[in-house]
Amino acid sequence: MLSLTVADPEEIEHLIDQIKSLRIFARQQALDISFRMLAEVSGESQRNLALLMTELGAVQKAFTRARSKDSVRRARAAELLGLVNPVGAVDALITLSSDSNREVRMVATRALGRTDTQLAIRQLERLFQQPRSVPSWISGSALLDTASPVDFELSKYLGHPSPVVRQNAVTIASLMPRSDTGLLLGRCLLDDPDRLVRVMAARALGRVQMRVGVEPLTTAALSDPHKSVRIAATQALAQLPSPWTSDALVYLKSPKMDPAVQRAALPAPHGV
Amino acid sequence: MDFLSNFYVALQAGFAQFVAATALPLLLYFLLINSSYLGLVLLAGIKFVKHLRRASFSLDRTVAASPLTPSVSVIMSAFNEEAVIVSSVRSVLDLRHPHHELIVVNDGSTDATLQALIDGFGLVNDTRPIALTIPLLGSIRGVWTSPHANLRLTVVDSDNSGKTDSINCALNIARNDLIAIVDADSILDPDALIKVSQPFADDPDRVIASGGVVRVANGSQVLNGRVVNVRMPSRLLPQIQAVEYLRAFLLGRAGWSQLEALILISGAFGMFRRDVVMAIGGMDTSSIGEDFELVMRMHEWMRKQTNKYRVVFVVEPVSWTEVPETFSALARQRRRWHRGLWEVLWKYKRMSFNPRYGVVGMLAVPYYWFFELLAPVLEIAGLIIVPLGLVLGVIDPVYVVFFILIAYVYAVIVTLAAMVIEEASFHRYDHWSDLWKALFSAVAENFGYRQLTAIWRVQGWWQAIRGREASWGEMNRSGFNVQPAGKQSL
Repeated sequence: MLSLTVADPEEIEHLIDQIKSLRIFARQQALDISFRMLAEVSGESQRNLALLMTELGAVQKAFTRARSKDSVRRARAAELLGLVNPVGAVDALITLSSDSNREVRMVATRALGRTDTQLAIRQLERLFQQPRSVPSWISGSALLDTASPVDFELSKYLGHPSPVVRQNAVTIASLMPRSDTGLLLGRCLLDDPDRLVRVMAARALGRVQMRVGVEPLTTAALSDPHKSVRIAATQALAQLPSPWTSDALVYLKSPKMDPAVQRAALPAPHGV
Repeated sequence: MDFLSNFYVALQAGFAQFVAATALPLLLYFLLINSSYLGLVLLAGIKFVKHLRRASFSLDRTVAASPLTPSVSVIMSAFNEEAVIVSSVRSVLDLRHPHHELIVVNDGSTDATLQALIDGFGLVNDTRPIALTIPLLGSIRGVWTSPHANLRLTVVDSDNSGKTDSINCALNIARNDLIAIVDADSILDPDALIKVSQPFADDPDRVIASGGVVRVANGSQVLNGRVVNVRMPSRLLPQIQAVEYLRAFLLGRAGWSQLEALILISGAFGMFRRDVVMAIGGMDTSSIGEDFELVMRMHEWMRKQTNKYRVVFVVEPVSWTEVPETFSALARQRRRWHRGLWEVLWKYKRMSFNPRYGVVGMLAVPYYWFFELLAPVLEIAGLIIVPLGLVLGVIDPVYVVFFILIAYVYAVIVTLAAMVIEEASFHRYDHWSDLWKALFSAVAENFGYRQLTAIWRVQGWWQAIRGREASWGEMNRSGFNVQPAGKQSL
């Protein structure tokens, strides 16, 4: 199996034939090993292992098992289809991502993130808005995993009734920023009714490093009703370039502020 | 002579009446306690089967890599841990998790714990102010932090004020979404944070606390702060405790978790939502069963908020701890545990049989009252009554032998169920000799060990009722079996 992962194209056929000639249990073991290895490797090794899975009939079996009555089989099939990504995998995974079993939906959603097509991305965006169907951190992580550029429209999610979706949306937006991201994050920081969303928005503004974030961050640091938001906003301000924030930080460091806010505003000590 | 024989007859008659009156309630108690164990075994079995079926498509890797994984502040209280503190801290910092920090509180150590940390990690003095949202008993003498942004370590040096106050101290500094409380002498599995934080990511609105399996590390080999070769302890006393831990975690907690009624998360490793812990005021510094107390308080608070919530148990081994190797240390530990159990149950007595608290109030809390708190008293009573009844000839010896056989065989079966689950799920013991040791311990614990621990537990309860001051005492650790670097194998 190890030779196969590093094999040159001309050696692969021979190695696959060797594995094919193994007894049924040994062959099954080889399949199990490659299944586990697939998630850990990339590039050529991944291609070689995927070829082995296809040649040994595991991929065809996965398509069949995607319709099995057993939820574990369906989840395993989803995992394999995501790892190998054969033709037709996206359609099967989209179906599995709406499965009746939550676990299957979760695995299929994660697998969709590996398939990298616009169809998959649209399904992931749909799933992201349905946290009862799939936890939004899984659909969100899958969106972040896709190699294709995702045009993540934060405005679509800021009015979502679930605070968890809004929390994850602001984090994703900061990792896939658009020109309007800073502005939208600032609005979210000042207007969202949920304090955890506001904390996430403050952290996100610290991450995107946009000047438009300074004003909402300063306002939140000074006047948000919740201390955790004031601290998060101050920490975010301290991460921005100092020419933008020096005035605000001088004020936030002053003794009249809450010690927790002062601590967040002061730079962490540096070594000698 | 007549007086003595009359006295004997009267004693015999009185005792016979006593036995007749108590036999039925005791039999009922016996049936209930064993049926509850059986119920928990079945529930744990369901949880483990689910877990095993899921093992092939675990989401661990996604948790480990996702920026959406909740951040964790790991809190570690250290008192005189000079010998192990640097390796303990390093192993926590090396845990697989996308965003975690470590806050160590040096609880007024009289050895060089603080200096070891400063030297070991090149820490610098952090003079920034600290907001004491949770009031502290001891004062903070200084804060030390790493000057490197990628080494997320903060050390707080405080007066000696106990573990709970140290945790509160760290809570005032922690800023991440979740907090994980670990013991300085525990060894964590590399994926411990990932496994225990996943329930929070899956169900962020409802999960408020989670815990995992704590295993006994005595006898196992430790390399660079990781358990690399799992072995059973060589001495019988820790061996029996290893089996006891397996049973308690794999069956007890897994079973309660399946019922959504988990009320105890081990102090050796537990993860909690920081905002909830802060909202309830942190740890109770007056409690000796602080881990149990915290979870009970969280249950009570969440019920009052009328929010739907969950306390979750992850069936994977996440933490390894050293158990006492001497009778005196074990006695102190068991007295303290039982005392803590009593104090917490008494404090939250209003939750018992209170439908407002759901399964927790109607099932879990009463279970702890009747089958955890009361069990040692009844066991000791049995140890006195049965021999006395046999001497006085008021109890049928055949009945006694039959009763004892059933009770002990049943106990062994429950333990064996835990071991079967352990082997089927994780297969951590590679050596047959370890399995034999575990089997032997499962039987041996019924002859002396169970009775001794019952006595210590009753002593702890009695001390609490009499209001004697609680003390943690010192546990003389023999240290982990640390493998020298030269012996490291590939």
